[in-house]
Amino acid sequence: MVKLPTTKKSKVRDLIKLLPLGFFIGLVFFLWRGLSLDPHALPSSLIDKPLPAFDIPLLDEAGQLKSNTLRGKFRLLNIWASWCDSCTEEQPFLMKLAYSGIPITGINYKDEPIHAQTWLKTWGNPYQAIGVDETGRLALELGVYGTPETFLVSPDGKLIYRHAGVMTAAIWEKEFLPRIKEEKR
Amino acid sequence: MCWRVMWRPGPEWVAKLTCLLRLRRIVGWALAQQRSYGGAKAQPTIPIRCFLFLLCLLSLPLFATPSQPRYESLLKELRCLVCQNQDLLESHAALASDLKQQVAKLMTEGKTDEEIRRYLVQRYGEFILFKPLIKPTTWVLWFGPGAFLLLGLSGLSIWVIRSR
Repeated sequence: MVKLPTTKKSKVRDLIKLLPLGFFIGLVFFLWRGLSLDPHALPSSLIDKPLPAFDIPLLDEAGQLKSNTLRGKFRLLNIWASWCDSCTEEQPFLMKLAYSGIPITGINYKDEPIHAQTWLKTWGNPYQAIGVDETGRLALELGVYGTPETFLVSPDGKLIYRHAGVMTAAIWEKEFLPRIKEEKR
Repeated sequence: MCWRVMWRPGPEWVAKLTCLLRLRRIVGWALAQQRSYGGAKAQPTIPIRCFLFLLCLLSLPLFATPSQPRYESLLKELRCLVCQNQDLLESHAALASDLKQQVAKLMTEGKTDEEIRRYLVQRYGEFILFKPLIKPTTWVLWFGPGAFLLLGLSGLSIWVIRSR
């Protein structure tokens, strides 16, 4: 009876000696994970929320691009500008997507309409419609922090996913396609 | 911009207080003028009433116009999303200047700091705040250091008491 507590105590002491090692291993794990995290990849705070309402002029013709018309189908909302080099980089892939039947709506961000039109003639136009956001007011509503950004909009007008940066086949297959399939179920 | 007009050195409430005190002095002067003409019991005449009414109207922006110190201290709390370790006040990125304009606009519309923060968080996420919000997922971040300090102090005190 008298000896039992002392053995228990020594066991506890051994465990306490191991505590710093445990802390160290935990710290190493978190630091190691931090190495592979990209601090520039920001999750959009609008995911699973309805597309903010907007009504902006069209680039090519008279008329307005309205948020409530972007419904009925899965659609990409691509924010681009002619002054943005990475937008040119993703253009061939967007053309491919457009040919395969994915509706893409463009939002021309803080751009000169003439420059935007020349750019479209040079690189091709994958967009069904292009709205002009000359002041960046709509981009602010969408939480855009750099062009290009591509949103996936569901048929009922919800934002499902946002990709900031150049759109590639790998990202399309990894992030966009599974989400479309999942929503369709 | 509007906030430059009302700008006074020092914190915002000092600026508003000095403005109000000046206003009170002017009103006092106007009433004294009135009394010197018509005696102590005289009612303010119509021109003086109009003058006082105009003063009241002019003092309204005092409560609605954001001041420079408020604008700057709010911008210092907000992160520039392009150059992420810079605050909005220091940043010269195009997006930062758009956000600054929006903050100034919301301030002139009479929005509080809290409302402006919420507006930005809704669009850009909590990452835009340098100070994370206090909620269950950030409890470790906020209270962890204090908890570890207490743990260390209690461990130390147990050790000291035992070794006596």
